[in-house]
Amino acid sequence: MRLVPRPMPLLKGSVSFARFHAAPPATAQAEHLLEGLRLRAFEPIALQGEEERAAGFVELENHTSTAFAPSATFQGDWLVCAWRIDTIRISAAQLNEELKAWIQDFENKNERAPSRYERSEAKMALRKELRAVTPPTTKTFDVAWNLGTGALQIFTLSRKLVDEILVAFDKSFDVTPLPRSPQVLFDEAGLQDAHVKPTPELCWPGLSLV
Amino acid sequence: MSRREDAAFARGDIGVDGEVTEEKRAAAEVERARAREQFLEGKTWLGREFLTWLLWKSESSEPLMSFDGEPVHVLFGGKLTLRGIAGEVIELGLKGTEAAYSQVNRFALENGLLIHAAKLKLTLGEKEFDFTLDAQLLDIRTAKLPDLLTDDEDDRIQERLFLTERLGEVTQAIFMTFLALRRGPEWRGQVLPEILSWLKGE
Repeated sequence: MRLVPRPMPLLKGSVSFARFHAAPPATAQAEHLLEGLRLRAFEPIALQGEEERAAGFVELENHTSTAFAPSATFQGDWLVCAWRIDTIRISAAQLNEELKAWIQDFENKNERAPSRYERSEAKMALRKELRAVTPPTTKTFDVAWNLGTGALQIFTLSRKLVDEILVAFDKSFDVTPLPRSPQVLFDEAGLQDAHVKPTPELCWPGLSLV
Repeated sequence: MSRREDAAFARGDIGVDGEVTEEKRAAAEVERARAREQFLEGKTWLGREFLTWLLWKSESSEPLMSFDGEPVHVLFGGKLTLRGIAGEVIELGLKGTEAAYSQVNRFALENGLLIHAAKLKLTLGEKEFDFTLDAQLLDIRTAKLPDLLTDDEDDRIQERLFLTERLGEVTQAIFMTFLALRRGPEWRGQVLPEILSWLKGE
């Protein structure tokens, strides 16, 4: 399996992360939390299947492991893990090359060009063959959750990925993380839209937004 | 027609009467409408006002605040992005060590562009963090953490976890300081007039 080198932000280098607050359930025990991770553990793409993408939790420092041993998952107050995504990408150029070769072969054998239906069937079969021999590409994104303070950090800024991990988090631990964004902090401070509005003098001198 | 007008006519920006064409006007309006949408969505405007306020505050050598007994200082680094919702320019990127504190930046701010993202240097006591902060979600980008105190591999992870969380906490604390100010009478009564004078170079 070909693995894309992981940036491992929690171990070294610069870090980019989205911040959330997620209070752990009051009754959460270590084993309960580990079970939550195992519930959404990564499962590899089946070689002979149809899926071209697989995603799930793996251990932070060993992204082939989903055992989630306590020593690998708890670092002091933090629960740490990674979200692993494997994808199989069939190159369109390669598929077209294979299809061209098949068409040539067909014409040589049958002394006619293949029909549209025959081409379509051949393309699907070739795609399936290529899929079986194309190794998946792996990417991982670190996740750290401070069980004491409730601070949750997801080490990617792709909103699509962040949302995907949040859904998995919710299903694993039955908690709904709240972003630490201006909107949420504004709401948590009990402020109303009617009381705090954009400052016209800063937004556009002369324009009133009220 | 002048040469400039000839070129604008050739582009379809203006008609034979020298006025802006309907097409161009419509495209600019669509652009501004989208910018306004982004500005309002998720209170991004609040994040932009926050970063703009932070720039003004950073000009003082006094600590911005105290966090867990340690002084907090912020300086703006070499790159920032400004965005606006009206006018001819809706986004402007500035680069340069002194870019944030330049007259060019103040002119842009004075004319309705606010800071949307900026490279910052935050000092908490003796620890220094370099990172980029964005106004929309207050996400922390490409943060360079302070040197670690420990050599032990296991302890390094925990120390890095502690530092990343610390950076998030301090950033949030600065934002909450701004929010407390923003919601009160001091904003219009004192702070905003001072910011506007500063923008004018007074």
